[in-house]
Formats: sequence, C-alpha cells, structure tokens
Amino acid sequence: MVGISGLTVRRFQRIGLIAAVPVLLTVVVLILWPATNIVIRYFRWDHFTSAFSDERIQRVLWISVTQATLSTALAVLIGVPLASLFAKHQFPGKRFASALVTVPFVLPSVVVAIAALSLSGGKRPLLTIVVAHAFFNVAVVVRIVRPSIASNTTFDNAATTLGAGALKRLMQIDVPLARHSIQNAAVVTFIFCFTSYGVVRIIGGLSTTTTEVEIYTRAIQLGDMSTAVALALVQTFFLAVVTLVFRPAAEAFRFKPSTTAIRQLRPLSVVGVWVACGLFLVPSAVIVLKSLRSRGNWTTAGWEQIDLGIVLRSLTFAATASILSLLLAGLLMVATTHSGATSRLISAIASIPIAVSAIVLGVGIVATFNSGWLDIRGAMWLVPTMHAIVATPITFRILRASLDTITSDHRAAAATLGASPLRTIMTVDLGAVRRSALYAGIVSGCVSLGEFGATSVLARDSSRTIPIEISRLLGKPGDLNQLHGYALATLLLLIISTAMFSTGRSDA
Amino acid sequence: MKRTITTFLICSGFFLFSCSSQETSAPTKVRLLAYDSFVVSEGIFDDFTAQTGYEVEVVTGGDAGELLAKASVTAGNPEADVMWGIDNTLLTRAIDADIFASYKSDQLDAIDQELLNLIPDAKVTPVDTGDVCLNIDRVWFDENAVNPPTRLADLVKPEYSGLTVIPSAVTSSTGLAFLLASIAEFGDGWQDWWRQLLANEALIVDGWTRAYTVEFSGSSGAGNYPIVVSYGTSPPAEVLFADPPVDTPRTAVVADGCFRQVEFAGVLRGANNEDGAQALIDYLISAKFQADIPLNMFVYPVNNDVVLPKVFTDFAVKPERPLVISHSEIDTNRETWLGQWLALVG
Repeated sequence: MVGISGLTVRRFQRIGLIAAVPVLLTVVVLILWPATNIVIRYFRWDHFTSAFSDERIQRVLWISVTQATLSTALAVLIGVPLASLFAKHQFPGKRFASALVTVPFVLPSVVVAIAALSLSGGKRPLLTIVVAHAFFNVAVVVRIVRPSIASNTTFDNAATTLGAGALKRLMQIDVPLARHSIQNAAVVTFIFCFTSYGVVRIIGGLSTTTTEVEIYTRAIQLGDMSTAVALALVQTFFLAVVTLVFRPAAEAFRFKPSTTAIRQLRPLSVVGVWVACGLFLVPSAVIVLKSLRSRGNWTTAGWEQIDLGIVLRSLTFAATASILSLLLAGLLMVATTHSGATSRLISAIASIPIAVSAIVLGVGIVATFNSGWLDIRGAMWLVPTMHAIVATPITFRILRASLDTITSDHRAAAATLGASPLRTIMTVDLGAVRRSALYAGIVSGCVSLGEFGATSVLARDSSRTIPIEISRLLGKPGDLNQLHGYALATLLLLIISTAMFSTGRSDA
Repeated sequence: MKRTITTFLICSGFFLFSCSSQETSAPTKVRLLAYDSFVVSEGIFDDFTAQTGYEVEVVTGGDAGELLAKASVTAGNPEADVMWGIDNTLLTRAIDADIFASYKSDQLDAIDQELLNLIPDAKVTPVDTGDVCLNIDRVWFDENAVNPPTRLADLVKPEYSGLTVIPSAVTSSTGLAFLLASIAEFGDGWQDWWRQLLANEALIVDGWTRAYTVEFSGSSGAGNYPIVVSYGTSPPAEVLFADPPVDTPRTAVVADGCFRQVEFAGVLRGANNEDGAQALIDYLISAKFQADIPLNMFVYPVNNDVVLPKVFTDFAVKPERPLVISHSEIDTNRETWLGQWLALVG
C-alpha cells in the first residue's frame, strides 16, 4: 500500500469488516449451522474409522481426486490458450465464439451427461466424465484468466518484435503473468469437479463413483447418515485445505490494459479457432437434435408442449438469485480489498458453500429450521437465497479477476485527490468491475437455472422450474416426454447463449 | 340485471365466508408433500375444497427416498400435513422413524384386503401400485428372429447375451425393486444368478432414465439393448406419447418375474391440520381422485371402483401373482443385500 497512510489503511479495513458482516452471517446461519447440526447429530467415531478401512470408500476417494485433477488439468489446458486468444486477438465472429465456449457451464448436468453418453456410446466412463467436466469448466477458466492476460499486452508486443512465436509467448509471458488467475480458476474448477454429482452418477455407473455420489447413496438409499456424514466431513476438510493452500491471490504485476495492442488473427488461424470453438457446439447440437428427431422423423411436437409459465418462473428465480449473489459478492469484494489475515479468513469462509456436500446441507436445513419463527422450510425466498449463496464464491472470483486489473496506484491516486476510502472503493474498484458484474450476474443466474443438489430436496410449491421439469420429463417413457424434455433443454441453451452473447458486446 | 344481482350475492357470500373463516384461526389449508414426479390434473382438488373447505397446497421436494430422509430428521415436526409416495421398500424405515400418525379411513371398502394387510397400526393408507417388470423391444426380436424371454431365469441364457440393461440397485428405486424380484425368485441362489447375468454381458447403469431412454432399443433413444428393467405400465406411455402416433406400442411387458411396488400416503405426525389431513387421505382413495392417477403417473389405482383407461387394459400388465417380499424383511436385509450385490457387480 504505497502512498496511503496507516490511518487510511485502518479506515479501509473498518469498512471491509462492516461489509463482511452480512456475508458471514448468511454463510454461518444458512450453511455452517445446518451442516454442523447434522454432523453433530449423526457423527459416530466408529463409522468414521470403519469408513476409511472400507475398500470401496478408499476407491471412491481415489477416483474423486483423480477425476477432479484430470478434469481440471484438461480444462486449464484448453481454457488458458483460449483466454489468451480472446484477450489479445480480433477475428470475425469473436463474440459468438466466446459465447459458445461459456454456454456449457450453465447447462443442467443431466443434459450434458446424456449428450456426452450419446457421443461416447457409454464406453470409457472415466474419460467421458473428464471430458464432460472439462467441457463444463473451460468457461470458468477463460473468464477468470482472460482479464489478467488482457492487461499484459506490453510484454507481448516486445516479444513479438523480438520474434517469439505464439506458443513461446503463451508459455513465457501469459502463463507466468496470469499464474494467480490460472490458480484461482483451477481451484474453482477442481472443487466443481470434485463435488460433481449428476454427471458422475449418470456417466460413471457403478464402477466410477465419486464422494458426493457415495454420500448421496449412503444417506438416501441406505439410510446410513453416519457414514454419509463421515464422508462429507472428509470432503469438506480436503476442499478447505485445497482452498486455503491455493487461496485467491492477486497478480504480482499489473499493466494498464492496452486496447490498441489487439491484433488481427491470420485467416488460417481463424479457421483453426472456429474449429476449436465449434467442438463446444457438438454436445449442444446433440441436445437440439434430440428435441427435433423422433424415431427417424423430424418433429416440432416437443416444442409445442413447452409451458411458458415454467420458463418465466425459472427466469424470475434466476434473476432474484443473481441480484442477491452480486450483492453478496460485492460486499465480499469490499471486505477483502486489503490483503491481510482477516481478509483471507473472510474469503475462506465465504468459499465454504461450494465445499459442503449438497445433500447433507439440504437435510441439515430441514432438520435445523423446523420450529416456531425459525421454520423457514418452504419459504419462497429460501431457494433463490441458497442458489445465491452457492453462486457467490464463483461470482466473487469473477469480479476479483477483473479487480486485479486495478493497481494500488489507482487507489493511491484517488486517495491523494481527497477521495474517502468508501468513495475510492465505489469509483475505482466498483468502476473496474462494472463490466464483469454483468457477466458474473448472468453466471450466478445460470447457476440458479441449472440444478443444485441442496435446494432440490427443499420443499417448494409444485410450480416447477426448468431443470426439475427436464429431469422429470426425461424420467418418463414415451417419445413426446423425451422430445419435450430436450426442447426445454434447448430453450435453456438459447436463453443462456443469448445472455452470454449480449455480455460479449460490452467486453469488446 | 338478474344475473348481476346473483353474481353480486354469490360474491358477497364468498366475501362473508372468507371473513368468517379468518376470524376463527382454524387452518384453511392442507399441505400435501409428494415426490417431484407427482402430477395430477388441474382442478382435481376442487371437489375436496368444496366438500371440506380446505384448500390443498401441493409441495414437492425430492424423490421418495429424499422425502423420507427429510421426514426422519424432523419427525413430529413435519414439512406438511400429508405425505404421498413412501413405497413398500421404504415403509418399515418410515414407520421406525415414527414419522406418521395412525389414521384408519372408513372408506377402505373398495381397496383389496391384501394391500391393507401390509400396514401395521393403520400408519399409512395404500394409494397406488405398480410393477417393476422386464420390458422388451418387440421389433428387435422380430427382426432378429429371436424369441423374447418369458421369465427372469431366461436372461442368463446364451441367446440373450449382451441384450439386457438394468438400473443399479444402489442408486435407483427401480433397480432396487428388480434386485428384490431376483431375491424373491431365486432365494439363496440370487447371487449366483447375478454372477451368470453379468457373465452374460448384462449392462448395469445408474438409473431408469439412462437404462430406458438411452440404452434400450425400444425407446426413442434407440440404444443397443432390447431388454430393459422398467414398469408394467410403460407400454401405454409408448402409445399415448408416441411421435409419430402409433396404434400399438413397440414395447411389451414380460409378465413373469415382476416385483410389486405399493405406494402409501399417511398423515404426518405433528401435522398442523390433522383434521384436514385425514379428510385428504379419504379423498386420495376416493374413486374421483384415483381415476385421475393412471394417465398422470402411470401406476394402477388401488380403488377397485375405478374403470381403467383403455390404453391400460390394452397394453399395460398387472401380473396376477407378482413377486413379493414383506416390507419388514426388506428393511432387515436391505443393507446386507445391497452390500452383497455391490460386491458382485461393483
């Protein structure tokens, strides 16, 4: 904090602490308390120890780590070059290509799983899971890494002048300079893949299960809550360690974004990029096709069944969740503007929601808030609020990535010009994240549109949302039900693509 | 003019009625908790509201297993007044968790005594039945000139090698029912039969959706397996929801070797509106409500006065003598059986 006096730092910290209160309160009350409640109620030491001598559980843990590591590696391997490409180059159809890559992230997992199965033919489950997970998460990597690369064009131009090739520039300039963003993206991706439920369950079958699937099987199918809780504890502990070791960090070097440095891509490379991005279309194409083909004939019957009420309801839910999540993430940003132990602790606590087992949390909420004024089961606001809390760590990291483009000089300058810490945060920090906020808002809305385990067991009025309706329809025999289900999935795809496409405009 | 006055009188009558019901703080709603796939026709509860004055609020939240897990942790302080959908594989667990309050409806005459005998202490009331049966793709068997299997034992024969797809017993209730069918059929020899079944290249997948809609050759998914574990009522859905329309389903049921699932509804212990809950149980087994069940949820009504839709009598199968294991025996052995089964297939 060069240029800002100790007094100002303390004032920043005070504002940070005040901002942290509502976020921490929400996480503690709605996540930690119910989860702890279930753990206290069902934790048995002998179940805990016997669970880890069980050969099947050892294998499940091993598979969880392996598939999450491989999935993350693949997503980073594809995502970082794409991020660099989008950040530094201009080419025809760039906005569309960029939307194409980000759409998969928000598709319901049952749909992605079935599309992946149709492509792989059910062979090689582990590989199919890894590819499906990478397909999901490239979006996360691109979005988190892209802003840091965009601000690093100065070195890049120098390297080009000195004759460095594209690969050399990527490996020796982009990767080292964006390494913190890459790490942030990898951590989020790893956690998503580790706790993945729908994709693993449908593709993996019996042989390739992961911890979250096993927790579900124990808790629900076998009624063995104690083993489920033991596994959930290990999962949360492991993910907490991962998040603490690789905590969100800011880049060491920052450069002014330089829009003039964006260069045109050669025609041959454009074709290459299009082929690469086109691959992301394949699973989506499977879904579109399944909504229009039945028994070798073309039909629109599935589309004619769509109930717009369900679509509107889902969008309302998503919008509510997204506003709430932006609010929470915004507060979190203010709370962690300053590096320091407090700020790290706050951001660690706020990351807890994605590391808690969804099914344990769902049952925990029902078990905790069930009497008197605490009886919030079935409350209208509960589902979108839970969606918002779960989306917040992602929203936060997306916002944070763009915040990294601000240097402390910006803040120092604002302070020198007489701006109060609050004013500084409002103009400098929030100003910088405005564009990302739109995207982050859409992503959190989409997290709400996609399925989420903990809320799927919360009672709600029978008015359905799109993901619940899709899995209900795909769970029934008859051509029309299948067509209808895939038509809804396609509609979801279209809604999300349009939203992503329109945020692409503000990026350009 | 006359109509306007009548309308006015009716409206003010409603207004007064709603005022008076607000004065007494008695509950005006009954909450019915059901699994996600619960579907009824629009307005089906209007008669109930007219008869009792209670409005029905349907809430859903998960599948039957999830509903039970939640109800168990909040026994005595439930999310709703009535729960729909606990089946005979879960009944003992539900009764042990003490989530239901006893209620014996006085309108059980139209229900088979055999079903009523299943229930200890009048804790629940049967509401529908369904049978987990093998389904086959008739077209595949015609084209390949192979005779379709007629019983479970056939599945391990060489001519059916690599033809069967089965949902997992640990992640799917359909799969669990099929495992129970095999235990009822082969007794102590069930593990040996499963070994042969796996050696005969049967495919085990996570759940019904993948088994039937992706891997089965008879569904629109057009997979590679012409034999699938599904329901005795699946073929009617293949006619009603066919696209393009068909007169007869491409699929058929193997009537031998089916496991019967009976679903129950019960008054939840500690219900806010116990009177309303009991009245709702009566309504759920009435001929009016029961007649709404088959084409919405593709299960059989328990009320014998209901005339079944033609598509059911034509294409669905309700076996005369399904395979049965008592719910207490299921509960005692479930974990052991599932453990043994997992060791075989996992």
